[in-house]
Amino acid sequence: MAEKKIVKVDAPKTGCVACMPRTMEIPLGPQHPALKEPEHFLLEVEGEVIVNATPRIGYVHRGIEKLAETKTYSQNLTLVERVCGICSHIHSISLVNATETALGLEGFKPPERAEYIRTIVSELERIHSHILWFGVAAHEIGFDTLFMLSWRDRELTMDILEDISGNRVNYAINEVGGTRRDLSEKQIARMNKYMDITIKRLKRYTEICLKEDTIRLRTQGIGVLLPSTAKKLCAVGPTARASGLKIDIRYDDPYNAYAGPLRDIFNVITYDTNDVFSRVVVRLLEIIEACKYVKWLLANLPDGPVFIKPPRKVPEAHVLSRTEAPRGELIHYLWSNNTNKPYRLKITTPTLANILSVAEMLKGDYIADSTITLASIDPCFSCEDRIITIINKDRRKAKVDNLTMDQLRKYSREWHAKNKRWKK
Amino acid sequence: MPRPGVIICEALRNAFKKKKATIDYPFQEGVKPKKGLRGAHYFILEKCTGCRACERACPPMCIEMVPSEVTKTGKRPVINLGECIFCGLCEEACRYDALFLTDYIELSAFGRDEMIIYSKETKPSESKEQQEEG
Ligand code: SF4
Ligand code: SF4
Repeated sequence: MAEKKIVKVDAPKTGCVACMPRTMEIPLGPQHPALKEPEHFLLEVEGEVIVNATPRIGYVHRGIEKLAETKTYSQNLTLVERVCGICSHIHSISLVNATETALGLEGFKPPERAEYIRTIVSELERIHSHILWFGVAAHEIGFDTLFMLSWRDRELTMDILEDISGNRVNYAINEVGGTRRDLSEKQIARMNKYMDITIKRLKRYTEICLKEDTIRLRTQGIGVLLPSTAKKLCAVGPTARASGLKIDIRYDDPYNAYAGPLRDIFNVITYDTNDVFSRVVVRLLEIIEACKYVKWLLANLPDGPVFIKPPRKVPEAHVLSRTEAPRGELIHYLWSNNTNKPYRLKITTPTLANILSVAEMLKGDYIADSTITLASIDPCFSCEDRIITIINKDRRKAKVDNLTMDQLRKYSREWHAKNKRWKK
Repeated sequence: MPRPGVIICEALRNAFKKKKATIDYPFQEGVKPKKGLRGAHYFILEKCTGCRACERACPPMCIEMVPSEVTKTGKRPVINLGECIFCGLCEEACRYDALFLTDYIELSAFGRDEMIIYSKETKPSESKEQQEEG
């Protein structure tokens, strides 16, 4: 009775089909051609149908929150812009709003023109981000003509952004106390012209999407997220709006220029087929709306300075700043401590809120449709990672032992002698 | 009522357009705005006082102060363009207009060391040429 194994391994079931396990597990990611960023989805499949999906996050933790504690507020604005590669400006708006709210305790108020310029840039960013998503989605369903055409039209917005901020991606236009650049008459005229073209093009694409079978067949009835489920799983942004929920921070909790007269013409876009098609339509309609807001803001741009010098130190405060990023609700939580550096900064990005919804959407779909379903929330996995989980740090050294009962007893005695008073 | 190929006419119209949407970039000049672009730095040694304001403002801490015989405090900034994020904060911090960003953006180099530009002190007028080489 010497060799008694305590670690048991289930023998593979062989024989009749009924005894075979019904489901199979397929890992999607972390490195996978369908994903642009590292992310792990464990798909449980029954034949070709996904019955369960488990996401795992935390592959691209970059320590931005910790780094933010070592830098001053205006330096942090350039840092948080690098949280996301596409919606960079909205992060800096979020932080600058939080900082200015804290400064507001001492009576500081940013100039109105600066708030309008910030809003214009954020709407331009929404336009280019949604068109980018539209192109990616078209590419995902194998419709490359639309991908090329839509990205060509995206260049107009990118050119405007480069013109007014000096950079195509990280605009660095925000500063605590205002913006760093003003809009000239020439730029305003150019923006108006380009916005007209974009509206025209986007109306055409919406028409194509509503009529073209290539898109309808691949997107209708796929990735369904019912409104009740969306509410339960806290979906945000276009994902929630495509499920018929009227959620938009720009309307629910207005900030910057949205709190002004723009609120009267603001229109929360929703669509109610709850599937990927619905998300396509919501985003396309949102671009057209965003173009209209840009035009309205340009027409009603107030005069005055764009920058007022703020006090150097930010008074002690806890500020929660919510903004509507292209992908949904973005939260910056700032804890200032009467110095020129934040004590703590916490960032929650929209993809984190939507990741549970995408697991729900994948259920019941075919594996072949998983890529477009994943893409439909416009995922940005690199932005969302705020923690890292290390399982089995020295995996290479780890070995599997077969211990007998006596050996295990001996091992446990030794282990407890070594790690005295060890608690979980 | 199925209507296949709504986009076909659009694609065909594009195929026969004279004007291309893309540019053969290295052979043809790229499009960039006339002013306001944030590219490589231009540093004027005569104006610099060595006040270190630019060093303090820089978010990725890529400005290093090296000894100098020209400036008042005996220090001058050297910028590591490999780490620079082209935010322009140093330009705003400098009260003496000694440092500003140009629209020179073709900054690829063969090594990390080449990204740090130590311009010679004796001929400060050459500093721009050296930067452009880097
Ligand atoms: S470049 Fe300007 S900010 Fe930097 S040390 Fe010289 S004078 Fe000071
Ligand atoms: S542009 Fe920004 S990152 Fe580059 S040297 Fe100046 S302050 Fe530093």
